[in-house]
This record gives sequence, structure tokens and C-alpha cells, in this order.
Amino acid sequence: MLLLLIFCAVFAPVIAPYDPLAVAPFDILLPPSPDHWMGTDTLGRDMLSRVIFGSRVSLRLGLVSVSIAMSLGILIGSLAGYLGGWIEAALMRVIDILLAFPSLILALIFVFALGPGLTNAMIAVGIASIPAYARVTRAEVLSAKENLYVQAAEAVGAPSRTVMFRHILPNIIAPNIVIAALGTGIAILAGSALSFLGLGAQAPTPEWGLMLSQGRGFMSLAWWLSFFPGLAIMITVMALNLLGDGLRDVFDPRLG
Amino acid sequence: MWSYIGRRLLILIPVIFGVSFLVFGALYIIPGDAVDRMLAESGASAETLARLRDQYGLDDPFLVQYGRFLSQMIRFDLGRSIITDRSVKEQIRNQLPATIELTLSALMIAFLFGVPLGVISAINRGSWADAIGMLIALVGVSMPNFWLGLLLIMAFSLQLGWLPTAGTGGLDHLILPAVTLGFSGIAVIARVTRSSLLEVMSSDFIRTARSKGLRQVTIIVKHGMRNSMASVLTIVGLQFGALLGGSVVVETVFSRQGLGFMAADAIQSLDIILVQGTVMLAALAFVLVNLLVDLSYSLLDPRVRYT
Repeated sequence: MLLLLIFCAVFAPVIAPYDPLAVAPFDILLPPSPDHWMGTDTLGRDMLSRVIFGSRVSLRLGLVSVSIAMSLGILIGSLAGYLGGWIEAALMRVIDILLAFPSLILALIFVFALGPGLTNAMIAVGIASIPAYARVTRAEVLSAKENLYVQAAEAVGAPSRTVMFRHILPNIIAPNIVIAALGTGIAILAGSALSFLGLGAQAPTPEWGLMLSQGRGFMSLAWWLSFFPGLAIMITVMALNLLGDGLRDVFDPRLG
Repeated sequence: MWSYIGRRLLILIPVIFGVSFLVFGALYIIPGDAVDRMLAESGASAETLARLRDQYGLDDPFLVQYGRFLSQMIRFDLGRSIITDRSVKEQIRNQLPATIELTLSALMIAFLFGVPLGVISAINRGSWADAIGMLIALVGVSMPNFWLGLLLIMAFSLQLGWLPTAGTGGLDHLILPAVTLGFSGIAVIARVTRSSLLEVMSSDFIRTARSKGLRQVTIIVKHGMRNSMASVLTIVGLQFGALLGGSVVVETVFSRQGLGFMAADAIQSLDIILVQGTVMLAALAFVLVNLLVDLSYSLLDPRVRYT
């Protein structure tokens, strides 16, 4: 399922039957038919092509925000766990503050501050997701630090950087990958919610959340405008959740 | 117990300071401040602009503005909306009941359906009932709530005509939004109930209970459920946050009165003061609910003692 999505995203220009932005005044609000499998929207644009191109936007949104969250989260978590002391106390208080907000509300604050737009939505969702990575990384670093091989490396005078990157980092990668797989789905949901509220991707970008919000006013006339983009979001997030569950079973069989 | 509560409340103070700093700071850095952005389109004169900037103290240094914000917060004075000039506290007071009604109903739906679903899956582990239960849970966590809301409107309002499409009012206006908001909670609670019950059911005291010849129902309800409730309750606390965030979306989908709808509207119209007040309230409510959840563990599990 996920491979199919990635295929759609990569080869969108080849497999999409029409240009996702091409306006066709004589083809507006056509129901699904052999010519337009998912119908057309209020400007006569082909919904299938827009949904296919939407996979690019959504996957990018998920990957970029997870990369932001994961890199900052791992950085904060490993600094806190490895260095300890006041640095740990200060960093973890910052994380506590981020955790005091429901995550969508935190994303709303940042997108409000940065201004609406797809890039800002990615940054906002990314920042709002930092705590999960930071906390897991810190916990893993704390337990990895107790390993004999880490203590041995420190005893022979290996510089902190070597100990951190060579001996500790490999330990914290697996749990972070599991969170990232599940987090990409959550990020896509949050990002499309922001777009739905008019704070993420802006028209005419073929973004699923935005397409849903545009179709909202035509529910009684054209169900396909709201149906297909939502289905696409659900299938994508479901595929990522299954991947995350699978990875968790592999990396941490206790949780299965 | 009381000293534990006292300590937890003390720890909350710096967190709340941090929250207020983040809320104020994030909204302070908005390029060009609120009044400029708001009035840019209406073509207000330079004098009006200057007067408004002065009225809201927007030309003061950051720390002065933040200090004023804090002292207002401490006095529960949330200021006045830039757009409507109405008191933010009053606006929140007007909208709060609708949101409480919605989130509590959603939480109730999530709990009342999620727990049995998880229990059924756990006691029939590996069977088709488990498979169906977990499929529902997977759909629940993967489905965007705004899409579910629109689907429910299409089915129950537009096609069947059973329930109203939008608005605020009696029970008939509450059903669709509450189901929409609670659905993902059902999924999350079902998953956690299942895994924590499975873990509990493999412990020694369950084997003892079985060997005493107790009925299966007694074992599950009295011994299994009671011990797995702590994890379920933690998730219920965290779900409250998800519901608060979700209410912004769901209230927008159903054009329903409430804090979420008001906040979404305030964000669109750049009403910074209103956004600040609402967001602060949401964060405070979330922090307090999680504190209550922590405190309630001892009610469920007498082994938990707070020192």
C-alpha cells in the first residue's frame, strides 16, 4: 500500500491522466465516469489527477515535519541524557512546556505565528512533535550510558563526540524509527487538518485537506469532492500505521 | 497525598510560566503586529493606527508587554479582543459550555465503546472478533476527523435527513459532532485496553483466580479490568488533549458554537488577544486534567501511594 503511494508520488506526472491545475470551464462538477474516475471539481479540474499529485504534497509534509521533529528531538534528548546536570534540567523543562499543549493546538500557535502556508505548516507540525523523540532519546541514552562498552570507551579516553556518535547513537535509532513511522501518519493528519482550517497549503495546491475543505460547500451536489481526498488521507495514514506497528514488532517484540 | 499534590502544583508553576512565555512570545514575533495586519486591508489612517497601537501598548518593549500579559493572566483578566473590543473572558465564558458539552460527550463515547471493544479483542485474542476490533481501531486512528464529520453529515443529514447538518442546540445537534470527535478516541482506548488487559491476564493472580474456579466474567471484571485501568486512564487523560485540539476542527466542520470554532475564527482574523486567551486556557485545562489523572491512580490501584 505504502509502495503504491510512493509510486504515485514519484511518478505523478506520468500516471496522472490530466494536469492537476488545468481548469476546464465546460467540465465542472462531473460525477465519476470512465473519463474522470473521481469526477471533476468546481473548476473542472480532474479529481483523480489532483488526488495523485496530492500524494506528493502529503508525503512531503509528513517526511519534512518528521525530519524536523526527529532531528531536533534526538539532538535535545541526547544532549539532555548524555550531558545531564543543568543542561538536562533546562532542556527537559522546555519539553515539559511543549507537552503542556495539546499537539494540534501547539501546531496552531506556531502556524499562527509563522503565517499560513504549506512550509510553515510543516515546521509547525514538526516543532509540535519534538517531545516524543526527545523523551524517548533521553531515556535510551540514559540506559545506553550504563552499558559496559560505553564506560570502557570513556575509560580509554575517547572524546565525548566519539562516544556519543559511535557507541550511543546506534542504540537510540531503532525506537526513533518506530516513532517516526507512526509519527509520519500523525503529521499527515495534523498537516491536512491545518490545511482544512485554511492555515496550511493554499489554493490551488492539490493538497488533500485543502481539497476536502473546498468540497465541503458542495456536499449535497458533489459528494466526490469530499470523499476521495479523505479516503486518500485515510489509506496513507493507515499504511504508515501498519508500517509503524510492524517495525515495533520487529524492534521491540515485548510491545506487540 | 496532600504533600504530593502540593509538590505537583508547585512543579506546575514554572511550566505555566513557560507556557505563557511561549504563547506570548510566539504571537509576539508575528511579522508586523496585529493592529498593522488587521488594519492594512481596511485602509485605516495613520492616526487611528497609532492610537490603537498606543491603546494596546504594542510599542512597549517585549518584557514590558510580557509583564503586563502575565499580570493580567494572574488576575484572570484576559484582555479585550482587538477586533470586537469585547472582553475575552466573557467570550470564553459564552463559548465554554458548548465545548465542554462536546468534549465530555466525545470522551464518554470513546470510553463507553473503546473499553468494551478492547476487552472483547483481548479475551478473544487471535479470533475474528479480535481482528474486527483491531481493524476498527486501525481505521479510527487513521481517519481524519474532518472527513468522518463530512461523511456523517452526508449520510445522516443530507441523505437520511435524521439529524441537522450544523449549528448548536439540543441533543440532535450534539450526536454527529460528538461521534466525530470521539471516534479516534474509541480506537486509541480500545488498543490500550486490549494490550494492557492481555498483559494483566497473563499474571499469576489471574491464574490463581482461575484455579479457584471463579467465573470468567468475575476474573475479567474484578481482577483483570481493575488492574489494567491505570494505563487506560492515562490514555483518557492524553485523549482529553487530542479532543481539545480536535474540537477546533470538529466545531468548524459542524459550524458549531464553541471555543474551537472561536479560536479558528480568531486565528483567521488575526485576533491575537483572543487566540492568546483561548490557547492559555486550553493548555491549563490539559495540564490540570493530566494532574487529576495522576492523582486518581490510587483510587484504582491501592498499591499506588503518593509520598
